[in-house]
Amino acid sequence: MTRRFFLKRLGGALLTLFGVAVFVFVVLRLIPGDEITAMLGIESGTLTEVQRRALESYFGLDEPPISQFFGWLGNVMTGNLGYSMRSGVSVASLIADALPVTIELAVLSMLFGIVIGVPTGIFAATRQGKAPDVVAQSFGLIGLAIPNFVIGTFLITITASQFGYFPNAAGYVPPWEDLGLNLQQMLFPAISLGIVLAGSIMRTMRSAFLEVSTEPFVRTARGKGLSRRRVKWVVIFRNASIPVLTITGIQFGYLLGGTVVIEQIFALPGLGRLVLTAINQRELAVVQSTVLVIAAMFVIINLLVDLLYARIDPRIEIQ
Amino acid sequence: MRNLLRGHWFPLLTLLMIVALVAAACGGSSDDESDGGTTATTVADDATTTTAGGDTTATTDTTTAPAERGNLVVGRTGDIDILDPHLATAFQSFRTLELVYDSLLGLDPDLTVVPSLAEEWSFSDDGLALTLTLREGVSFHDGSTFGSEDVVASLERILDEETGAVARSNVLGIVGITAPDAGTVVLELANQDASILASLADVNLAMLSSDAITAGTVDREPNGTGAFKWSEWKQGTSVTLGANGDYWRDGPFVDTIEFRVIPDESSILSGLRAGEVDFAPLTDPVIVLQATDPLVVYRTPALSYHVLQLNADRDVLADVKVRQAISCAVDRQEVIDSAALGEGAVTGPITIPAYRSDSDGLPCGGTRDVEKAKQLLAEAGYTDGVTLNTIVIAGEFSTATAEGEALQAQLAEAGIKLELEVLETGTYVDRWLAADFDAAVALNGGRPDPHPMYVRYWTSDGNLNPVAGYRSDGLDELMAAGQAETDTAARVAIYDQLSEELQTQSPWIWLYTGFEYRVTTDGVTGFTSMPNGSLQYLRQTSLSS
Amino acid sequence: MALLEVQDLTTSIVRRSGSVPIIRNVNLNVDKGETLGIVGESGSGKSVTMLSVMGLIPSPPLAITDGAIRLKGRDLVGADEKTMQAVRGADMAMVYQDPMVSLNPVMRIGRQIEEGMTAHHVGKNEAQQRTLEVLGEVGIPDPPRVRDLYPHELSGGMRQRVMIASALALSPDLLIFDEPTTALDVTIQQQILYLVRELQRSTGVAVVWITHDLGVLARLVDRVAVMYGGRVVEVDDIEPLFSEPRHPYTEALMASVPGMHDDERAPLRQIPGSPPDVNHMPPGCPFQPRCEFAIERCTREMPPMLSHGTGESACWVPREEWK
Repeated sequence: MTRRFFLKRLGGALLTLFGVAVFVFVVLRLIPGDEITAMLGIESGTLTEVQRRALESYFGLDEPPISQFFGWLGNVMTGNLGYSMRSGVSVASLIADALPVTIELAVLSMLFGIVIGVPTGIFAATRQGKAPDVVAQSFGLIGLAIPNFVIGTFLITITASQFGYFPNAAGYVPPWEDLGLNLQQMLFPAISLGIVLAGSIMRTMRSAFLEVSTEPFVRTARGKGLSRRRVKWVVIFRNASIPVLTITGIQFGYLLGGTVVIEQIFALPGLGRLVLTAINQRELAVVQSTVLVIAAMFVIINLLVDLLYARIDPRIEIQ
Repeated sequence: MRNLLRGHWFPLLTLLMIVALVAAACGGSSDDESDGGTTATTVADDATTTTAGGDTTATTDTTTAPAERGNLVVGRTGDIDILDPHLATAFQSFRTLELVYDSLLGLDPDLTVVPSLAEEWSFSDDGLALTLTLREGVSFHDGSTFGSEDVVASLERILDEETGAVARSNVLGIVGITAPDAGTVVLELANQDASILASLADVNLAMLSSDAITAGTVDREPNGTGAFKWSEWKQGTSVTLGANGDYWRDGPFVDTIEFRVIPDESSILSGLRAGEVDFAPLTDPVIVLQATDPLVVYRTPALSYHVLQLNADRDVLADVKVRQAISCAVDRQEVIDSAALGEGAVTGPITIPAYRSDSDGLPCGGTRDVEKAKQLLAEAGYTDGVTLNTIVIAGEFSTATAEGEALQAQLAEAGIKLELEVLETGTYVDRWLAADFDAAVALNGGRPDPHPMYVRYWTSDGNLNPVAGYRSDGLDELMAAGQAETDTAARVAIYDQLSEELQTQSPWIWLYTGFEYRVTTDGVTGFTSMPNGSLQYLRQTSLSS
Repeated sequence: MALLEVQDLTTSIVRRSGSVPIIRNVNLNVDKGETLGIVGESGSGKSVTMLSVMGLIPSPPLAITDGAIRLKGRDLVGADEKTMQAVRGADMAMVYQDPMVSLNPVMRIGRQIEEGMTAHHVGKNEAQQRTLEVLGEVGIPDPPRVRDLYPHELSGGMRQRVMIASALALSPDLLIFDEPTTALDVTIQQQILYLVRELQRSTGVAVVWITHDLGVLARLVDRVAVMYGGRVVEVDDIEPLFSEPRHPYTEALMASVPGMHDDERAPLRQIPGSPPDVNHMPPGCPFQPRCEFAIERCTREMPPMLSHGTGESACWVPREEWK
């Protein structure tokens, strides 16, 4: 891996991010309504000219779009991501509060998905065609098909109604404040997201496993007198895990983008919720900067996945 | 090291998960918040009985409030955004700020104006001067005394155009403010205005400390005279208020109130069931109907009204017969039953309890008459029926689309075709403000006083008159008369006439008022619901374990 | 007692509708230090035979349905998996056809060779030593560097040498080569052949060499078994086989190899027809449909292996009567 490689990727990333910035900027301004109508609703019709102009100047709506765009972009480069108009809080601190929540949820969901999906996929592959395989695949399909919020709502309804248990209504606490409560609050959301992930991981694992099993080098391994176990894990699994890892990495990137509905149902103050609320409130600075941050993270994740891929598959060379 | 992990990562991962789950199970029961309150039932009973006609009369003295009275958790779907009471517009902001601040006057559950920071008031004979006597011994949370200079500073701030105060237009009639002494304020009015009292009771007219205004800290450090002090704000997550030990009324009876943001109403319901949430203002009838025992549901008819706005400025609706035809073809109760699951009451134009109008003036007397509707249409020259482009707002209130569809079905039988356009909030607002519609399914807010409620719509120079789509000299006269009339009974008569005129001319089809829902656990006592949605009686609420 | 005895071996595809044999009544013997070549077309069953010996046939759906296999007197057909694991690599080892895909792509060369040894309870250090040794034996330059490489970093010829090295690691008594040079170019082929011959001479290991290419056998093997249609049709020492084949198929094979002095414009001689379908085997001799010399009896009855001189062949028509 050379400096040239990194520079090339960096260049690509910056270009991507610029594209995202333009896109978000334009789309937000094409949406009907602005901060004022978002704030006041139909009451915005009651504003006098003077009031309206004052609010427009306050929200920065009176500048031409191009200067708004570059003004914002310029600020971002110097680390100023903007401010929330209503509360005056900096976008950077809003993101700093929301990001750990989303990351924690993404990581836990990922773990859950892997812990369920990988063994199930291998299990199904080693019993291909037989009843356990069919059952496992059906579960995998169901997991993929059911929307994550259905699982989430289902879990809440059962535990809250029957057992009076709903830790998420206690107000989100970060792990460093109360790890026990925090993990309880993350449990159901992580399960809801993880089950869907598990479905996809299971299928990938299974098909990769089956494919590798038919490769000639597996026969070579057996021919050397290696035990079944060793062949299964060190030879087949090690090779089959490569596509699974790449899928997992990409999924992680998506999770970081914020899983809005789950965050809404479980009252988790993550990035998804931040962006959604900001869009409804037409808090343009918040939306733009947050989306940019999410895009940046996605780009970084992609890069890490590529690096990881190169690490675990020696055939891949970083040009 | 790599060799050590290799082949062992799977069991290590499983171990990690198990550790996590064990930690969760062990640490889980440490719950610091919720029902630590003890018996306060005696207090609560008394508090309830004094709500009629003002709560300044002392509650019969109670057992000394117990030491730990708990944290009342209020679950709601959105957070406060603007902390400045003069600028706040969102319901969530009102509900929090009204506990931190007081205004000069207040409202009781019937929306009658009662004393608050002003103990007494009187109009001059010509009605152009309003004298307010301020309550003594009131202080702000920061310890400073409340007096006339604070009133003057607050009112001037509101009247100042640069502030951008939301309620400015309601008090534009104030042309002069004087403070003869620390305990008295005199307001000079441009004309007789009976509605000004109700306006002064609004949270947008909260009394701020003149020091705070000068220091410019109003939007960051709330400092009021209210029952609760501003304690902590985790933006987007929760606002916590602490009890004001020096509150000038009796109370409050909980140590803290925490407004907690739970974006999904069904999750709030689950929170109530789990005991994590004590109190919740809910809006969706579907959710509320699931709140069974032991949860308690308060239902109060709301001030806001569901209406099918018609745009009489459009050719197709210009003829009053067409509008009356629509009125006759509608079955209001059926709309309530199908769209709102029966959760509502048919209403006329004015929804304030004291002025509530019935079906006087309706072209078909409030009963559905499809034949009559067709007849009216024919008389207007529309034998083949009419088509109306109808905008519906998505997501703002849960029954919008259902109402639209119910009306569409009903009106179709009379040959009136509603072409429904379901729009996102921003788009809807733009079209609504521009009066770019033939009809609009709307939920409009009400006010405690009929004048501010309708002055913008039904006076010909009202700034929302284009949206109302109709005007007449008759309406202008009635609106002016209603504003000036200070005698309550006469005022009611005037507004009855106004309602009748509106029902006859039928520029809008008023449908129903829904309910303000408050759902609580059974440990919450002493709360009274208000038609305008106010949670002010949380200042008298207590938690029992 | 021969080193390897294969007796009446039959391996079939086992389906619910019934078993279909792929190889039938195969009889082979390999003595200590001997080199046996197995030759035949694709589909003749030569690979399946030796894979059955190694116990590496994909099962399901394949299975040994009849016959016996004995290595150093030990029965292999009835042996359990653990026994087979002990035998594979240590007593007999196999080198496979396509070196490009027969090595684990994500594991370094050295480790792949070592793991074959550690599976047989050889200590790590010893295994590492032996790996370097054996890489040198197969003619790989700079073994310490190569052991840390990945398969894709080596050429085809080098990879095949690595496979041979791996097979040699535990000094097995029998080495099986399954068309090891088919996927390589001709010059490499020569090198590998030379290497194997040298190894044979220096270590005295017994070799089974599977191929469809007769020319390869000439300088390498002592004896040849010819297979057709899942059966062994002729077995003989190399010289007599080449000069006087006793089975029409062997004869046809010889004839189809272009000679150095053939007229270059003459068409290549082929064996007309195509190999039999395992599912639709004719009742008599499997070669009969394509045989120049077939008689009526060939269509009905499978000829038994009849001895003649140094070898045996399964044909109703003696060589003298071929026309």
